[in-house]
Amino acid sequence: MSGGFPGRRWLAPDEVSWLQLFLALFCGSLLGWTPTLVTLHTIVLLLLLVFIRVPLLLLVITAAICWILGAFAIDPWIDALGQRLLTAKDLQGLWTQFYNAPVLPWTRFSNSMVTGAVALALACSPLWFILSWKLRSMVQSAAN
Amino acid sequence: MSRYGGLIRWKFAIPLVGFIVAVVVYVMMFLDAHVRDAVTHYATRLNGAEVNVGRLRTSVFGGFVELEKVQLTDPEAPEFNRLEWAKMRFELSGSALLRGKVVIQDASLQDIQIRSKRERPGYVLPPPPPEPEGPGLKEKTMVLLQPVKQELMQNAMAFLKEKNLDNPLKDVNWEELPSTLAVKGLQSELQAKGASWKGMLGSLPDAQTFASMKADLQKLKPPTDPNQIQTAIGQLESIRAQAQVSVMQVEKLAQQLQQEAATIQSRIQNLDELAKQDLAMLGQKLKLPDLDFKGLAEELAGPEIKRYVRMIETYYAQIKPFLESKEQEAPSKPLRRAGRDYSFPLANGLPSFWLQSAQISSKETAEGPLGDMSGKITHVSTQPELIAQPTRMSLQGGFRQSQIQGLEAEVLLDHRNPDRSEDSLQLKIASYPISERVLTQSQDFTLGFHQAKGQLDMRFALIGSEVEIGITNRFTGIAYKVEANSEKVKSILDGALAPLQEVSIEAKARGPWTALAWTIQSNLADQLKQGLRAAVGKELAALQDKIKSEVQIRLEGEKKKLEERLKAELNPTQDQVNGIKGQAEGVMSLIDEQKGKISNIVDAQKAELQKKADEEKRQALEKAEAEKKKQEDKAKQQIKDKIKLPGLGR
Repeated sequence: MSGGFPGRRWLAPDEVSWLQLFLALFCGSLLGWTPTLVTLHTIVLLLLLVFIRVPLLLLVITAAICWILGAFAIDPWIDALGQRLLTAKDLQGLWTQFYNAPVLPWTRFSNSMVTGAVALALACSPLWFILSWKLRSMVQSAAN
Repeated sequence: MSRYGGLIRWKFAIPLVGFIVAVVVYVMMFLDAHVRDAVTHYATRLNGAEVNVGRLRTSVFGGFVELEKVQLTDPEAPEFNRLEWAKMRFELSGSALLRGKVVIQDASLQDIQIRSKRERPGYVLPPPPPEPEGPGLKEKTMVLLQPVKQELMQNAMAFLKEKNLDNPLKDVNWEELPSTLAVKGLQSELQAKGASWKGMLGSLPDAQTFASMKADLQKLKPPTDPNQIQTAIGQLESIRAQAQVSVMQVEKLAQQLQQEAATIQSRIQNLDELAKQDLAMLGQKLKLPDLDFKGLAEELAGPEIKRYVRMIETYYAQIKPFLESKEQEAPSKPLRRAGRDYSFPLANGLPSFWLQSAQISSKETAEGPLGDMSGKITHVSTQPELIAQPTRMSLQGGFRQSQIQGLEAEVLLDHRNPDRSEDSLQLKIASYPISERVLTQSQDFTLGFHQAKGQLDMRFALIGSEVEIGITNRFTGIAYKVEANSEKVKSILDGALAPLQEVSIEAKARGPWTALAWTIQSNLADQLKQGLRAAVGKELAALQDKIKSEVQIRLEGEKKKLEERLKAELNPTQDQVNGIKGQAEGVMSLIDEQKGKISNIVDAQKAELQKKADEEKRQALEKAEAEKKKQEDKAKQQIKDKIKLPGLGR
């Protein structure tokens, strides 16, 4: 049975779990807001997405929307957020440990856009949680 | 299990294994070739001409990179390599790589050649387009020794070559000369002054005004009645006030005329001073050689010194920023922001790049092209403040086949304290060959060396922003290259250079990066000065006298004309002013005369009145005296009457 909105099944197939929807939204936003894919965590994320079953269309659309949003509107804010975090006095010890630890520098966390994008995606997690929960409810009600 | 499926895609394990295998195969078979292409690409951009890497080998588990037969094309002679080495090996620290840092624990550079012949000419990159003006551009393109105009020798040679100097001023545009411009200025000023003076004359009282004043004065008869005197004096004072104003106006104008005329006269006299400027300008226009030949050493030795200074400029533009790398904007992506890269180093942590030690070794063979070199480079880093030791480089040896011997280089780059860096370089070359080196050149002549042996001693020190440079270059065994399209020029140059068996060039510079003060000396320049002075001096003096005399004649003529013009404008005006002044003074003297007359009348009347008053006073006194006597007599009689004793008379 189909319900909700046109093309709903492409975005959120029947019996998809809220976690899968949440991961699609979270990973999509992270990939879209990060300006480069040449960082360790994005490469690992892309590899993980090979293993993890998430609605790919939802992920791609989320990533595309976030990329466009970043390019034409919120990049300055992402950059400012990253700079604020990287220059925060209380976090200097943490960044210094990260910077001198093995592997972590390959995430390019010391770049303000990368850190800003990750922080923004994490900050939006509650929103993705609510959105995925609602979407799952919509899918369930449509299925019933 | 739901129809959509669980969270993990187990069936993708096989493709993933396939992917990992593909990655391993790529690393084993293609990575080296791709890294070599990348190294070649970036090295070519840095070198400005083709760079070839014969073979590149990487070992992930061995932690090394090896490059073989590396050739750097010389951009100025693409058929040669500027540098070539047979083998280069970098031992990388694996733990540092895991931390995103490149730490080369040990490197070696073996079997070095310079100026080796290439199999085919290397391609040279076109010069990069000029960068748009912006902050930092000036520092990036710092030029420590500006090119010197090659004109002293050229002018001298052109002068010597010129045969017909009989009429050197035939093509001179006299209108451009400072004195001509000043004369024109004075002419127009005189014209303006003439008009101004005429205008001022119009504002002065005319003859009719003075005639009317005279008539008024003559009408004024000396009063006979004392009551009219005051009225007459009032009228006289009124006329006097009018006349006084006119006199002041006239005197002011007369004074102004005198001052302005004196100023113009003085400027006419000062035209002689401009004759010197005229001569200097004509000297430049006619390209007359300057017998002082000041700056000839810079002109001759500048390009030679520039060869070595370029090394320092390159250091400043490319190596110093590398040693002082700070947080900077990351390379931008299309449409997206690049962000800013921060660093969070530990006090004794690893820098982003650190070459701990590199050995340079090369042993020449009997007939081979290799250099006999040994050297060591230590502690090259992008963050020197994290490393206990400064960067040091030492190199000794020579290239027998290229006839370069006794090469010694010591470099110290200490940027551990970012506020006070200390860099120094000492480079010595005991002997190096020179062939077909041009020192100075124009269409009339070429001066240089066909062959010579050079000896170089160069010192450079930079402490903070203060620079000290010392370059000594000696040339021996010289075969001079003197070419000229005039026999006279050639014989003069040959004669001047013949006794000079050894040429030395000494350059010193000291000061801040942005304003280095250079001193360049050369015995070649001194010798050429003597030769050229002897050859050029007499003819030049005669020509200069000729020009000076012509300029003086022209200037005297112009001065005479100006003085006549000044007289023509000034004299009529002065005559008129003097006339008006005479009339005003006439009125003033008439006033004084009238005033005298009235004064006499007043004095006469005053005397008469005084006389009358005195008479009246005398009469009054007499009357008072008589009255007083009468009163006394009366009083005496009364006293007599009272003191008559009774019975005495009976």
